Amino acid sequence: MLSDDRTEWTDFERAVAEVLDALEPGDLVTYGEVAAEAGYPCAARAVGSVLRRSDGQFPWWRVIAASGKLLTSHEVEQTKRLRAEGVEVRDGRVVT
Amino acid sequence: MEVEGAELVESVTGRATRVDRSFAFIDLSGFTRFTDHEGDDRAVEVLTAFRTVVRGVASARGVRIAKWLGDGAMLVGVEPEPLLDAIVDIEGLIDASGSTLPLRAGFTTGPVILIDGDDYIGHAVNVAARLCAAAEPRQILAPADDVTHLYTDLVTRPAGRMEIKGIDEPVDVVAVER
Repeated sequence: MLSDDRTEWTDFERAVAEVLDALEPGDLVTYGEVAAEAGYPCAARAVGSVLRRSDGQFPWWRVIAASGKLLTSHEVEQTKRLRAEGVEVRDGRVVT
Repeated sequence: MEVEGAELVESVTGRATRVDRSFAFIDLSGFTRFTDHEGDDRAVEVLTAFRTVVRGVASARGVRIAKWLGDGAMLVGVEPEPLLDAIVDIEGLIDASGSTLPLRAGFTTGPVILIDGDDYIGHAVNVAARLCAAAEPRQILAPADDVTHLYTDLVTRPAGRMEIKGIDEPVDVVAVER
């Protein structure tokens, strides 16, 4: 798990956190977009690792796969949160 | 050589590091019964084939076989995705080989203490072992929170809430599939 003290984080983790903290209700981004915006293009998998270790510190439900697929492990909760923010979801995918 | 308590603690902590790792315990369902019915020679044949598959997949996926456990194994990955892919590959290859003993597995990821570079202590290890013991044949069980935000095509299905010894709260468990 990531420490609560962000000064202990790596530069990458802090850069990703800055992007994730700036997400507003209704925003949707892919792992790749977060990585690129954080200044680390091609680090999409590592963004997933930060989210997985973050213990809910970030709005994880606003980050989706490039295919639009929701997390199958948390599909019900993610669908509920996205719909509450006005995002259309159908059959486990975001409708664009 | 006699080692004093404080010196022992210092020597152990000096070789210990906290790391994030992924763990899988895998085993062949029904192996003991198979051995009773088919005999030792057939059992050795099955185990040899099983280990050949595990070695090949582990090598191809870049995961480590931490230890063999009779009819099973403990696997370790630095990242969760290759390890999960490896388990699914192993399961598929064992089924494809016509084996009557399907695989079952438990998977976790999390912080552990790495000692001497090759041994791990922590909840993640214990939980993976317990999930493997609880899995049905051809089932790969994992805590839902451990397989979230994975960069893979694998999917998960809810497998209920499970009481796991050593963990205070029941854990939401999912079955991992391709």
